[in-house]
Amino acid sequence: MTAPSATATPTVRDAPAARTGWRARLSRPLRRLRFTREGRFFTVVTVGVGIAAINTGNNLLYLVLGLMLSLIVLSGVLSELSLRGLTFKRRLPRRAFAGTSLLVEIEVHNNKKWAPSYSVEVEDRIEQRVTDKRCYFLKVSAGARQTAAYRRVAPLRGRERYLGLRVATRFPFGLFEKWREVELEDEHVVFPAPVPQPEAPRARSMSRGGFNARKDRGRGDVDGLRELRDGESAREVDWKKTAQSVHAVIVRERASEGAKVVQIELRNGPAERERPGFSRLFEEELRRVAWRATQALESGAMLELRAEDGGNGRHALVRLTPSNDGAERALRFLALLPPSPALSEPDATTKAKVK
Amino acid sequence: MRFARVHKVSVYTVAVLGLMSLASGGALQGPIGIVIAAGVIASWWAEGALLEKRAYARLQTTLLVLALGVQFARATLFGHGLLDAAVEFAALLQVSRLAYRKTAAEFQQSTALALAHLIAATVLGAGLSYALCFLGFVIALPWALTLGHLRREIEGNYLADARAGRAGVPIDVARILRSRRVVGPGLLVGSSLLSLPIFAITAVLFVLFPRIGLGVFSLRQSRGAATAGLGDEVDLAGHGTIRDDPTIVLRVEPSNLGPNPPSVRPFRLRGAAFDVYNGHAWSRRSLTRTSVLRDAGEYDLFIVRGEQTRRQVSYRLTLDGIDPPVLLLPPGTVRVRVDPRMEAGYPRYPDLTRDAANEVRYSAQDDLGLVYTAYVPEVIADDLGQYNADRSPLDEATTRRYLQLPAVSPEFLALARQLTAPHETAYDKASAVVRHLRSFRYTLDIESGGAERPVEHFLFRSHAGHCEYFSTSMALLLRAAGVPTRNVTGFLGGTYNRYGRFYAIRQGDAHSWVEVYDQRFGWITFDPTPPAREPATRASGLLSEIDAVLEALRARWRRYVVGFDLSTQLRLFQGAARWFDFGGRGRGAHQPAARSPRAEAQRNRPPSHYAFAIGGIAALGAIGWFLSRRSSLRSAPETRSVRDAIALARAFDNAVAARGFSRPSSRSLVAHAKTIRDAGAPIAELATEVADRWAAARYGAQPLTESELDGYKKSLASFDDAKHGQPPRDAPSAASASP
Repeated sequence: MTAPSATATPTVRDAPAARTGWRARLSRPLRRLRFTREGRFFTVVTVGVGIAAINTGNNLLYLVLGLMLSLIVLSGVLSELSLRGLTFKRRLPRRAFAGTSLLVEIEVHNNKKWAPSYSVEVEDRIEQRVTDKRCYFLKVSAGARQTAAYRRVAPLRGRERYLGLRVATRFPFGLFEKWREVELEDEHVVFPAPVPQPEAPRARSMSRGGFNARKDRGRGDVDGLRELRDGESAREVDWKKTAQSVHAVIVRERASEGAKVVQIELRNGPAERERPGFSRLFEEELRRVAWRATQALESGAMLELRAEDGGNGRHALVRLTPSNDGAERALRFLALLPPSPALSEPDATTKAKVK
Repeated sequence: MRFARVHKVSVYTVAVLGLMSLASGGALQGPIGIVIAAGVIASWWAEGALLEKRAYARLQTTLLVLALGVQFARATLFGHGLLDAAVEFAALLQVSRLAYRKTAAEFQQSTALALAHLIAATVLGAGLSYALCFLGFVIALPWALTLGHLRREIEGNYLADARAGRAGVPIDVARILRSRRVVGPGLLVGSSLLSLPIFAITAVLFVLFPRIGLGVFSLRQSRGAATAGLGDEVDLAGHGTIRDDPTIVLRVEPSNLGPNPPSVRPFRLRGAAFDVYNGHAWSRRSLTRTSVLRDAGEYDLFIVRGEQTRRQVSYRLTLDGIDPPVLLLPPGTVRVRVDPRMEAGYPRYPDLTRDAANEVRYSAQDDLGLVYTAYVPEVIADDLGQYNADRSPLDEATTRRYLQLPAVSPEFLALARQLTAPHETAYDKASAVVRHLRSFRYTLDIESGGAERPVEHFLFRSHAGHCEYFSTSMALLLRAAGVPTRNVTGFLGGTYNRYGRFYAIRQGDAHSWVEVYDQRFGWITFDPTPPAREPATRASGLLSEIDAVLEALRARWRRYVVGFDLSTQLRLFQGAARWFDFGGRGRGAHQPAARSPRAEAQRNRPPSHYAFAIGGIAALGAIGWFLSRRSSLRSAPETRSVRDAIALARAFDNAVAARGFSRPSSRSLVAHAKTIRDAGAPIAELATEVADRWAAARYGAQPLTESELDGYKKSLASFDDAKHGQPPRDAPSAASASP
């Protein structure tokens, strides 16, 4: 396994291209329809009028029947018009923690030149999970972009794959709901939510999910000066030198052997997994370690995380400096550690949906 | 316009149209109509805080329950029709909904009720007013449904939405409903234009639906318009005030219409005949009716012989539903052909019956009336119809019946003698009486109506009256002179409608005249009413033109919509087939011997219709394909090259992120590769190459080949930092190691 990158990247993705050509058109999933409550009522009345018309031969009933059927036909055409020519983007949050609310933004762009789209509802599809949260767009003018957002709670840490969108409309008459699936793949890593810990790090004592802390000689001596790198903490900025420099922000570079190094080793090997209640305990421990790791990095210490990388007996290791994105990298490392929580714990959201 | 206001107007439009469609069928007349109209108007202002009051809601419910009770009592205890009571309650229900509309659901209920009213009105009436209501629905219903749907979505989606949480304040639905931005002119015009395809689709479906008409259960009412003079009794003092009633009873299309028909052409159309006069009113002694024999849609009223009777003039008559259902016929009619109704695929003809005085009635199933053609031998054909086809001799009993007299004064008998004595034949005597009465004055004022003997008052005092006085006086004077007569009622009139190419006979054209029996000619028509009694003058100018257009529309509505049946449908399809030359070719193939030179020429004609039809379909298909392709190209989100570029970018992102160089969304691949190069990362060279290639593929119109993409992906995935040098000193290291 390659050790996971420790950054949750905000992603912006266009909908993947539609296949073109007649073969692709034939194989393209069709629009799907569902009756609404009003639509069921309307259809039943239409059928009733039709039966009455055939029975009585009353031409006025035929006329009303024609009107009602034409409304149904037009409903299909206009809902198609409303769904056509829309492209979507999804914006995921930079950081997402399991069990806490996150905001997902959906941007819709109406590519049509003259026709606005009305009453568009967008629902996200996540791998193995269904979000019951939707974004509603009352009107997207021709050529315009609109953004809406929904809040959801990611139940588990780990990699979340967003597969696409379910784009639906009940426009124009609310008789039917027509929807289509839009492929819009995205991925982000849900971090374990850190749990604040009162005690200080202890040395080499963990039986399950532990750490080693090695306190060395303070933060070390200044070794030299260099330019500030992207994502690096501003803690070591030498403001005086920076003011003298025209283009660069100058930081003080310290000798690494002088820095405090916190080592944390998580024990999640095959032997530990055999123990009863391992999954739950491991997840709890992960959350505690997440807090400690972030605290350590914030305090300016170097961090070394080590854990078993699944069933192949290899170890994953990440060494982190206290830069701006250090905490994120640590959290990402922890989020992607096996065992995957999805394998051991049921998804509450999915259960709720099935009900 | 504000969303809420537009929505309210649209729902009210539909609701009022629904109520009007009910009213057009004859429902909601009188006080209940006034109550409903007042309720609808008052409900316009019922909104806001009033709807929140509990007392108001309770009042609503109480009134509705009360209305239900009243209507039930009227239907069960007071002989009010059950259907009428139900229709009135449905209208009251609409008023109740309109007066209590808080949310989208109530508005939608109002719309649904209006649609139910439109459906219910189909069994109540079929006039042009229903057509106008229907047209209004075609235009207004899409507004109401669209705005109702949007309102429902607004109410459902903007209460507890994530947007609300993000903005920090809940989104106010009322604010959206007050907004002028949601419903712009575009939506209104667009939804108005929807009426065009709706109308077109409705028309196509209307024509295409097979007219079967099983007739298992029908609510359609037989509610013809009451027509003066055609009942079982005619009271001299009872009517005479319908002269200005412009309601059309009958449309006449004579076969001898000509290219420039006169604007007024009086047609005499015989309805009922009466033989007994009691001093104030006419009635019939015998109510026995016999069936008129039918032969394939044709009814022979009188058997006529002789070469000269074979040439006949025809009058096509479209009779609106009247009460009683009397067949109005020109005097001299010998044969009638009735247009059948199609039921369960078979033509259904009405039963015709006639009484001893040749009054013909039809079996009315509903108020749709009848369309029929009357045939009159050319030798006696005359619009004013003096000669009758009934020439059967009178037996003694019948003669006595037509000589019946009420109690009359000696003065009356003396006048009868004075007028008729110089003449020998019944024809001459009748002519003398006509001449005498023509000197009297025609008036609609019933001056003699209150007299003990109105006829004698008319003859000796007032010298003025309407047609009933003239015809009754003539009939009685001739009877007093021993000439059998009968009083006949019907219509005399006809104003030309150039838009519909027919002559309209109105309620105001109701008339009365006398039939006199002459030994030589049989029953002869005499009309003693003075010529001053011209057909009712119609207004001229724009209003009369509009009226004529409406009348023509009414006739077309009746013929092509209300009267559309399977036979019409078949004719239409056959016409379409002939247009495509299917029928002609088929017939020609089976009848080669009988083929005329013209048919032969037609057969050998190049199939231009086929070519035209196929070319038209092909052109439409091509246009559709072009538009669809244009649309799909425009709406296609990405091409294959863009997809490949995105895939490459993802591989790039994954590779560099694994090495601690996550790319912010705001930074391009090329800029990010530069950052990596500046950082001195081993992957910098590959990253720069990939970024440049990505830019060329994404924006430089140099698409990636499949092998190229795979190669880059593999290189990025399997890049080994150790082989390309150590990572920078401050970059995080990541490694996997075996234990």
